Amino acid sequence: MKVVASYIVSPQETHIDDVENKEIELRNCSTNSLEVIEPSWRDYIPMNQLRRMGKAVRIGTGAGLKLIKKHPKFENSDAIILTTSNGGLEDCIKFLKQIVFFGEGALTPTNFVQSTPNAIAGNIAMATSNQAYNMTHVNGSFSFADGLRDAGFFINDQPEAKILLGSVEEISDYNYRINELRGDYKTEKINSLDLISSNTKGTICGEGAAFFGLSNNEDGIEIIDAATLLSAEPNQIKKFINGFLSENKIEPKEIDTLMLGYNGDVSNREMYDYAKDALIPESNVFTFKELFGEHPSVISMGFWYATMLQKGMSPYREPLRDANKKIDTVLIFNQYNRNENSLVLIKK
Amino acid sequence: MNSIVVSGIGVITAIGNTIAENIHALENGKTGIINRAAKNQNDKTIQFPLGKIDLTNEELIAQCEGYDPTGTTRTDALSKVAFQDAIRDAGLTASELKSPRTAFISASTVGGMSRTMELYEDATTNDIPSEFINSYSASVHLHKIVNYYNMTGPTSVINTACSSSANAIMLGAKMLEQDKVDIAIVGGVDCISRFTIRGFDALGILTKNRCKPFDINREGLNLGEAASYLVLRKSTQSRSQNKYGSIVGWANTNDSFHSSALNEDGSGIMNCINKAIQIAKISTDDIGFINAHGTGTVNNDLAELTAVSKLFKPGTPIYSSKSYTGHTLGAAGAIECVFSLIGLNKGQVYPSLNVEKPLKVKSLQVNQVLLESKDVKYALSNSFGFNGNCTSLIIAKKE
Repeated sequence: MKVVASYIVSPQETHIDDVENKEIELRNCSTNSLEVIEPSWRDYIPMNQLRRMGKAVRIGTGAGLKLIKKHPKFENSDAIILTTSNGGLEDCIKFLKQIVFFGEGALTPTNFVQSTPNAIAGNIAMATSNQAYNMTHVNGSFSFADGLRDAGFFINDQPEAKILLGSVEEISDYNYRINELRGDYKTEKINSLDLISSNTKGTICGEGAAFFGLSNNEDGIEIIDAATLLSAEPNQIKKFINGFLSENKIEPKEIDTLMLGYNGDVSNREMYDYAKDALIPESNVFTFKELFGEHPSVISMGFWYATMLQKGMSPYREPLRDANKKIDTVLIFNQYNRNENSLVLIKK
Repeated sequence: MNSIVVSGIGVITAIGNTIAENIHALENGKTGIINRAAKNQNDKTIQFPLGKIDLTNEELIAQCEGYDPTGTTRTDALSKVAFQDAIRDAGLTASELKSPRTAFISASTVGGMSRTMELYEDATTNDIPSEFINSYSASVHLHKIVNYYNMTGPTSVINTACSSSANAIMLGAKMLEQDKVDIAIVGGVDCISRFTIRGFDALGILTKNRCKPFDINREGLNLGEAASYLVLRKSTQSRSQNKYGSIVGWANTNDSFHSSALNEDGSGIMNCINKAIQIAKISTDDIGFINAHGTGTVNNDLAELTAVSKLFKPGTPIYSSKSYTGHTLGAAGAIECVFSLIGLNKGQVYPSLNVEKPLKVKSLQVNQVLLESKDVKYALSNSFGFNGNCTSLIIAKKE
């Protein structure tokens, strides 16, 4: 199964046409919150619907429809698979607010319907009259790898299938606050582009929507495998990474490039360091959270960045380590909450 | 024919904490939907009848082996109780649970947002986090179980609204069929919360009476709560593992019509059922009964009965077990698959409750009596969700 099309809105100018051949000016922030740059969605979503959409639903629906417009063969995709941890949490809390302040009165259902994470895949299906397979995975930061696997099962059954796979997360005041209360974010403000070298605890947040057109039948970046493991135990994680490689019959030295989820949290480096220094010490190493921030679906943006580098896009920043190797075989390794480990292996 | 066998079941609903209690209620037409408003006029958050499980959070958590009560939600506890029962019933060993060849696919719509007020306070006013700060996400119930049993195989949590756990069953079945895993534990959980009560109320589809699916004068649905997991294996493995029957067909489609209503011409639903029948390699005439989505709303029941009337022979029995349990959202597809297996193996089709004037489309109408028939081999179970999500499962009796 190959990635044959992609479209992404993120805190960087990744939404521009011909993105792989253009230079963009990198955006940084000093608020610890990297917000998505949204293009106008007016050509894709009717105004009356757009006004009622919360951010996650808007960027998800908009990005999905924009990919379809750029690559019309995905209009009649055989599967629409959406992955997210929280979906429209802002709508959800807005609805809670209605409950609190208008306890027994008539509440408006818009926020309720929009808060259900399957609203995004449903909106895309409705906008394109698509009656095919329609799925939404909400397994925290595992969702994107789950979606890749789901797409793989689908294409095994229907080798000719075209699949639209999306991944969406939003920052709202509400989920920012919840993550802040959990102690996820840095207490001092930093320049986001300096995130990876930060020596304090915590990270910064981000948001965005990444969509991919997948198919067997065209040229593109091949998705070899994806896997997840819930564990904070270093030995178990090491076993997981090694097992993943051997199951895919690939030697560590065959990986020319690592895309690692370093998030600037000084207490969350051990496993990335293991991959970089012990397991695959001769590889190029790239990072992505200084560009896109940390959130449960950001691995989809690391994945997108890796596919762009494989296609020859100039890196947005100097790699963390330049091994002067071609970028052909990339292992993406990401952790969330220190115990949610995801691996994706892709090949040019 | 695909044959994915069911070798263990755990189920907890408003009509029973065990499979035996659920069977007893179905056979005796005993509903679990209680009009709590009559009991407690002062609490306006519960002015609707609910299919509530008659155990407190504390009582449920006490049944969860190895769980710390702090931060454990009702969703977490219900799912753990059903999971424990399912793996015990299937006789799964600790090493089978730990195997990378054992998948766990769950489903939930409300997840830890069942702690509605704590979520609101943590998201807005709290300076010190509540004990539930790490509990809100839809995946928490699954991650707690995975942690407790040291599971290392593939996982997922699905939220396609009210079809979620039917999709979990479908995904597990596909993984087995493609030989990605040897065992798939599949199902879902949802508990009653202010969030969903107010949400469905805002949509104007909750009734203040007991729901009466497929009645001409139906007024809406009752919410319920439940959890159920099924242990699935491939039929090529030992015959003794086929304890309850098999999952032989499945389909997931989108109605592509409206965010909170089905197309009343039934076309979207027919598309889904037809695909599932094709995968099962049977004909619609082979279906002995239909466990309907049957929520009791004006729109759902008309769209569903219209669709099945166009596909199935006259007299095909159809009933809605939501008249027993209420609509359990993310758990509905799983408990209704379990009820279908029970009915197939007992040779029984259960009556839909509370129907006074049955809705009739062509020659099809809802089943109102306990039918006994030993010839029934296959059942269809439908699940539909907001945003057009439709899933149909074809279930075969134990051979």
